Amino acid sequence: MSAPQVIRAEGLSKSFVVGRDLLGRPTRRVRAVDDVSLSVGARETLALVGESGCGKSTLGRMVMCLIPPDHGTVEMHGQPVSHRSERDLRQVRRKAQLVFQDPYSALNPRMTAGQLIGEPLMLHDLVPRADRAARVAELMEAVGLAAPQADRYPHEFSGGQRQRIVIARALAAEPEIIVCDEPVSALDVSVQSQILNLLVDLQERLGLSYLFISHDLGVVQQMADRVAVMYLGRIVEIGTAAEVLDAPRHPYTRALVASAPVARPGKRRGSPPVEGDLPSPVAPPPGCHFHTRCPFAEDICRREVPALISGEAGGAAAACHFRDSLPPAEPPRPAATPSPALARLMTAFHAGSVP
Amino acid sequence: MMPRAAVLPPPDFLPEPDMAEPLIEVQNLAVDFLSAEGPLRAVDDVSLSVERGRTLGIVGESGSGKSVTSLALMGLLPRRSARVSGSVRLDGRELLDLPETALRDLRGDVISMIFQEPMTSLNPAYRVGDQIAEAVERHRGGNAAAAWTRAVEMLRRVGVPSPELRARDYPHRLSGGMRQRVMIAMALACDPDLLIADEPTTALDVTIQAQILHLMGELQREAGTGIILVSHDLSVIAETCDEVAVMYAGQVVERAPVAAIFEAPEHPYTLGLLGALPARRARAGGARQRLPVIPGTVPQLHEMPRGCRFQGRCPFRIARCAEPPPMEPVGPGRESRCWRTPLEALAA
Repeated sequence: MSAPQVIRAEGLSKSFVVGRDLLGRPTRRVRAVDDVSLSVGARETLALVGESGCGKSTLGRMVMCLIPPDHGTVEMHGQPVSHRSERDLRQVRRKAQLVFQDPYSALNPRMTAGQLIGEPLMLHDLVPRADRAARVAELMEAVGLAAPQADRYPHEFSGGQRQRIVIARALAAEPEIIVCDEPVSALDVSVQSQILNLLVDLQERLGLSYLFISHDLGVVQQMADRVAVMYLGRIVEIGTAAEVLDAPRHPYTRALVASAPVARPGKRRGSPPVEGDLPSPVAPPPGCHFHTRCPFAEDICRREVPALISGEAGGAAAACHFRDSLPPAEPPRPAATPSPALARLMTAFHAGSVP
Repeated sequence: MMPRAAVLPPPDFLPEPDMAEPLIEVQNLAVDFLSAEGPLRAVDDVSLSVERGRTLGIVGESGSGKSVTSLALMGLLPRRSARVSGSVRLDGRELLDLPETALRDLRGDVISMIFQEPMTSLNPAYRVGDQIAEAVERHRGGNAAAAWTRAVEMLRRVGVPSPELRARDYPHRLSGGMRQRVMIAMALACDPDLLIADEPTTALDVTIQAQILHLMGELQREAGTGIILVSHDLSVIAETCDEVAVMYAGQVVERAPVAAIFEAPEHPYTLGLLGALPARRARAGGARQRLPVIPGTVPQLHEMPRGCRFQGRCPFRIARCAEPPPMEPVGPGRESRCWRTPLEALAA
């Protein structure tokens, strides 16, 4: 890991005030992100997974310097970028772009596709005015839109096309890293795969890095080189996609992987992988946050916060006191394997060949 | 009042599907929305049936007509702007001819529905216990105290911890998963014969989704409820349903037992959907594989092609696809709306 990381975050924490007394003094805080470190290398995709309220979106915005952290630092190519002036931050933000979940609310309905994609060119003064239209056409083509569509307004596009506009707009700023916050969650399956392929193509062509925030383990499996799992503001496990998803160590990751439905016909038997609700993030349980729902919890888990380190056998780092003594996780249920005839048929369908 | 079997045998002991009288039988259901440019057909020629104790999944993408279908079954579409035709028979009784007052007696009693977002379905100004008790009093009569007791009992049954206390809470005090449990408690409080669940877990996290789906399965086994589960998620469908109806652009394009859908789909759209699923697939030498895609997008209601509605995106299309294909049997207990069946012959 000697190559300079595109983004390196160290010990990031952020809490938000959720209750104030009569005089406006904060009385209750929620620790959205609690001492999190991560890094994303060049041309790498780090997926951030976890359930709602785990702090993954807050973390993504801190990495982009959209929210200042309470503690910790963010470095870009080894240069510290957090705690800088607004003017310096503008440069940082150009290099780190954000793609949101909902392409319906991310686009100004009164601007045409061409204006939306051209705006970053103007704001960052990247392309001389005379060349902007040509650059917009180029960007639209790169994301699979036709250049003549530049005069249309967002409502004239489908959901998938709108997400393409959002991506073209992000690309316009010539970023090095794109934080994708649930980029395909609002899209239908058949459109979702088109957008995921586009993101992979762009990564290979432009050498982009992605911080890919998602709750969908199927999508994460498709996209991620490495995976970080968050629970109530902390990373509980981080490692390569194969390590984390195929042989999860932390009991929460195991529950997450086992809970995800799989496209394999047949009713599930037995009780659900994890009981109970997510505890309130305002008053998270002491020690390991997961101990209230963990089948392996013991006394130490209620008292001490486990460190996020690799086990004796190496592999993914897991924040669990029993990372070395837990029984091996049950292998995840595989999706149904298509029969040879079905596989041939699928290939014919997706190749677009007409038998 | 119709007699109702309180305890039915578990589904394994039910008669074979072709012997059983379907609980609900839908034939040639069509829904037209009246618009300034004339009627728009949102649902066209939909035929379905569900037996007691079994689950039918309706899967489709946004705009496929799956939610409109379920609202039409409940008689919940506005009568002014939506015209529903065809036949919906519940236990042999035609629902589409019933006046609104009679439908109101059925809804929440014989048929219940769970929606995607529990917060918009619960009244924020009433305690959840009162909301469940209201349904019980409306359909079962009896006094308020008995209805409250039933509400608490239902909350206990759906796994809400300390139900006596939670029944006194307002909806905003509960988490998303707890609210959906309340919705299920309300829907099942009168032991309905048929439960229509429209994306019941889409707004929930996966660990909670697993809990809710498990709960629905358990309650179904206890009471023999027939379930129609509407979902866009093929994985959820695979793990919960007995039969599946795949909808595309307002029509059911394929109907089959769940295993058959996944093992040998008989409609090109189903085939394309299965291929496009992001899944835990093996990676060849670390290189990231492209996901197979279905090119193009769903046609809009006002520009529906005359023939097969999938023809614009289908690599298997032939000249004949310009004519509308009928829904035809393609094997035991299954039908498909495609001129090119059996598809297997295409891959030979």
